[in-house]
Amino acid sequence: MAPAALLLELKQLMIRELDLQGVEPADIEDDAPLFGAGLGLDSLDALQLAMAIEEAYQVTIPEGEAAKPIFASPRALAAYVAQHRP
Amino acid sequence: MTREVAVTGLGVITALGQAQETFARLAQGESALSRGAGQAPVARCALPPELARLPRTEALSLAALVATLIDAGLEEHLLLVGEASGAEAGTEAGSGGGTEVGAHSSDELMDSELGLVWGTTTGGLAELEPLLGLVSPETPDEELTALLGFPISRVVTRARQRLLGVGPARTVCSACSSGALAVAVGAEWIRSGRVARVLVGGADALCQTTSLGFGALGLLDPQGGRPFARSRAGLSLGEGAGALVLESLESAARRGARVRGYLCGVAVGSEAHHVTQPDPAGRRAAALIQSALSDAGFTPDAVGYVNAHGTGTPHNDAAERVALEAVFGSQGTSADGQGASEELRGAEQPRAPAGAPQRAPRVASSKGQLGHLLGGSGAVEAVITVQALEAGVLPPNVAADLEPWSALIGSQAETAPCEVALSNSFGFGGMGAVLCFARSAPARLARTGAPRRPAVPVYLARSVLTRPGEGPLGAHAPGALPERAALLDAARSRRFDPLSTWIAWLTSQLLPEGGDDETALAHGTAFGLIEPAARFLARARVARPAPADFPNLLPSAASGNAALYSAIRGPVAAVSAGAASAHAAAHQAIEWVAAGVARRALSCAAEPLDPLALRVAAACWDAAPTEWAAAGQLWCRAPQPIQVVAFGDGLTLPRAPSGVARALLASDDGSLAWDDDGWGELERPRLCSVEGLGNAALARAAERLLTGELSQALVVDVREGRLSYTQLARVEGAEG
Repeated sequence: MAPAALLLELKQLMIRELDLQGVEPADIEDDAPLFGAGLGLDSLDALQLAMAIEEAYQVTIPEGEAAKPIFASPRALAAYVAQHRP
Repeated sequence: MTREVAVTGLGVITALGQAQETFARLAQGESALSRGAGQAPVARCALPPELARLPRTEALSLAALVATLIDAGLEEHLLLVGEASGAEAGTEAGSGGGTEVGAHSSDELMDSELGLVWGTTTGGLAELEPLLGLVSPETPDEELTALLGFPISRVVTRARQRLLGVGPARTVCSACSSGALAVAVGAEWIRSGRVARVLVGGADALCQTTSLGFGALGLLDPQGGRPFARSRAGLSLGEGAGALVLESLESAARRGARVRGYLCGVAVGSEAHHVTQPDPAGRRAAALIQSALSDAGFTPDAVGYVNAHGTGTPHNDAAERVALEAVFGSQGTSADGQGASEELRGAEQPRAPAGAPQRAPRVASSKGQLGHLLGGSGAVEAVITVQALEAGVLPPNVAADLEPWSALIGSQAETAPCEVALSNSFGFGGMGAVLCFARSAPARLARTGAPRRPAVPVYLARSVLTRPGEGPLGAHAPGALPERAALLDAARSRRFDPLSTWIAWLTSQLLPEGGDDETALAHGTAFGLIEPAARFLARARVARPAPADFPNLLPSAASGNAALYSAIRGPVAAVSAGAASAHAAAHQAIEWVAAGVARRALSCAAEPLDPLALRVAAACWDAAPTEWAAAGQLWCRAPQPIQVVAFGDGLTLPRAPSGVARALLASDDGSLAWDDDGWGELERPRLCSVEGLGNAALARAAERLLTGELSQALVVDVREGRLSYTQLARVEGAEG
């Protein structure tokens, strides 16, 4: 899958899984932080998102500190998924 | 009436045994956590055979309640288990002792009445779980009615059937501080003179839902919970129950009761910070500790021991430490600075009190040995705190690598006589309760500070009622609720389930300006969230359980979410009393205002909400729920046109005053005969709603008082042969 398509798919998954009502994929910047300032997501969202992504793409997302760079931005997340999916 | 409350009985059942055995084994450093291969450790209770056949939460609760009554010398309230065993299980709704009480005069009965306040975190998920498998669109209605046997208040109902002379009773839920909240609510019942004696406590049984849920949140330590350890990685679940008899000093002296200790101060409040994470700066936690001390009239240096909430999760223990250090000073912090993390130290902290103590109290958590008992924890740990004061022995922290903090008791129990001790509980949603106990009669201790604010009149400030054809409910058929985004700010309500959405909406209508530290919220609910719990388990059978869904399954989730939404940081709880739950929530809110615990308090309820609840209601009450009610009240101390004249619970109605008076009957179990009490015709509001009805009836009464149609109104709920009533009056001369 082209990186742009995967990125869009991940944004759609985030909107669906985290119930981001009123948010469109285009509203989510590729390089904006997901947590804290950016989309305003928190640790509970990280758990929920990790679960959904692991199921959808058969990847394993580590817990705790190791997950932070993966969730740094939608682009970082897409890169991780692209690299680790079977 | 003194502010102090005597503890005249205590009892627990934990994986380490009953009260004496539990305390002795705790002091010896024993742990009850199993080390099963591949499973997160848990602490499971062994039950005697006569109890083991009962539903587990009920069995644990009865074990603690019976032991406590025996310990208190109140055997007259015991009905042998065998005598009561003929009572059918699973017939909660409408069952009651309406005829039984007729043999006593009401005065005689009230004198010997025993109050009961019981805490639960899960609302009995251990019993609901097997039934939730039934829940599907194909399930016949008659099978769905089995769910009705397990309302949140089931333990209280069963205790009423199995114990004699149980009077006012309430079930409360404030996540993991529920057991301590029950103790605090019972203390106010003694202080206000509502009852002379009250059984308080809480229980929860181990179950699949909590294991899956805490697991999905990454909060279970695979090695077993190790509170305050450097390497701590989460909690361990346990099960158990704890109970205490609280009694007025006068009543205890009159019957020559053995006083085990004194409950001198209580504080309840919430953080409105996050659904699962504590505020790392521990601001509300510190304020609650300080408030419990002020309520007791002690300064921090009086405290010798703190039974910490101490779950063993990295964030909880760190936040609790920050809060304790804010109150007691950080002398206990070792010089190497490896205590609370830099991040936490940088955060805004409450101001340390003037005259900081010379020596911090000793701190330990019992959860490393007993596990986290959820609704049982606050109660069991209150008992352990009383036992520690009594014995002058402080149980240890059993983890091998405790963080450097010299306030922590090490792996050996300490012999350290102390006079005053605290028991902390801080749950999901930042719902906390702090209890302050003293060993000796308070008069003999050096006390500072004035007693808390005296009891004050309570007024009805605002009332909301939506009904068919009006407001956001009007255009919607049952089962087709308006979208969340139409009611609430979408981003701030992102994780709200439908019930949370409704309660948050009601709360925002009653309190458009938002809440504060002195605003309280009580949500009346009979069953909690059956359908979401069924969905959570159904998903868990085929995939990983959804972490974000779990916190919403607890009965206190809706009030917690609403508090988060409206920044309500006073006491927040779900209140349950079967079909009279909404009315019970109103009473809880009024009590908080009357006791000076909160400046204003909201009570609300909305029901039914989901298609399943509609089907169950239709199947059980022979009524198609085509009309709905969502209603709430804001009670306050500032004078308003409607005042609360009386509220309570009993066997007879208060007599009607002269003037235009009307009684509105909210629920009816059909077993009561009405006395000639002078009230106008009993009127049943035509709203088909289960636990929303009490609030709806209050709202109807308020409307009529405001229009001048009535000068006095009485709202009555009937449950298990007892009347819950609220008498309201229009204040002459006041203008809306």
